[in-house]
Amino acid sequence: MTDAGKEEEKEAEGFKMKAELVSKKFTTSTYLLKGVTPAFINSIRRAALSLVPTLAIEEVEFVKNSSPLYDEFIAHRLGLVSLKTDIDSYEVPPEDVDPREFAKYHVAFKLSAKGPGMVKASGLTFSDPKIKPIYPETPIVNLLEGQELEFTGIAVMGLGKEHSKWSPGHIFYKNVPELKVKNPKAENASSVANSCPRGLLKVESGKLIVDEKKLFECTLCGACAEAFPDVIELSFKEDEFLFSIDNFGQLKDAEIFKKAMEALDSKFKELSKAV
Amino acid sequence: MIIPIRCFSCGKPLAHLWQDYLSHIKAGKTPKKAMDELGVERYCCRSVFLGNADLADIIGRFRKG
Ligand code: SF4
Ligand SMILES: [Zn+2]
Repeated sequence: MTDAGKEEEKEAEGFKMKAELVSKKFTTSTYLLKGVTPAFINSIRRAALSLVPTLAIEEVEFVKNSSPLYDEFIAHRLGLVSLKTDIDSYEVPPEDVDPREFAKYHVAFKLSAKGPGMVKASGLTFSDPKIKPIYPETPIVNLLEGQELEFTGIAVMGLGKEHSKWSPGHIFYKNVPELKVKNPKAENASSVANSCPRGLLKVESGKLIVDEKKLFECTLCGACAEAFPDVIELSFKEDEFLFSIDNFGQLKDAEIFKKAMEALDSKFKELSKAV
Repeated sequence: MIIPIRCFSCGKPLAHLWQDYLSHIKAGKTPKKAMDELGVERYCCRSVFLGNADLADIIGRFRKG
């Protein structure tokens, strides 16, 4: 191990915080965080939801629209389309600045289409080729024979606290369960096993055991311990949490974490200066 | 009317999954199985799929407002 590595380890010992990826299903990644408190991770969660900048469509100007949907309906749908965000080249515009004035605040796009056919998010062309819809298959509106749609507009960097279209994901956490079988030879073992809706408990060669592989799927609903208090003991760890990010795609998980902490950091700095 | 771009409650992008959902249903899968396979986990998102009726094409044949 290098000296720098040792230093890092020493520092980590001081904090005793650990994070590890425990599962990834579709767009949701779950991390096991150790040595933290609910107040601490909740502040990260809230910062990630409301203070991490992403790109989203903000203004649309219609040239032609003979589609079945009204202009504002389509504009609203466009606003919700999630866009791959290049976090290093774009910034959130200050409140009193028109985002159209500087290239670092906005990106322009246009679309024109003639029916029949589905207008999809993939049809949007942005002035910056790095910006793309994350799900190009997203349907915007279906045009019938003879219907036309043409518009231009801008996508702007923004924060989730203003509108949730700028949130980078859905973020949640739960406790890590501690589940003990006090009496593995209980006569009613199979009905105890059946009491868990998540299938955490099973009977193997006459013994009631906890399926350790499924442990993190426990919702701490308490159904098992409530029905069979003399067989099951249920509690949870005080300083370990399962922190999940359902990523909407604009940013990577690590970017979300990093930006959330930067946002908190700058708030703390501001406050310490003010005091 | 038309499948919402995102879930009303949690904001998960959903619209791109609608055609896959329909083809799963056509292939005889139950909505539960189809949604499980598409990764639509939370019941807020599932309600968006279950509650949607595609009427935009019918409405599109009439003149707007
Ligand atoms: S608390 Fe609920 S999910 Fe967890 S093991 Fe008990 S019954 Fe299963
Ligand atoms: Zn949802």
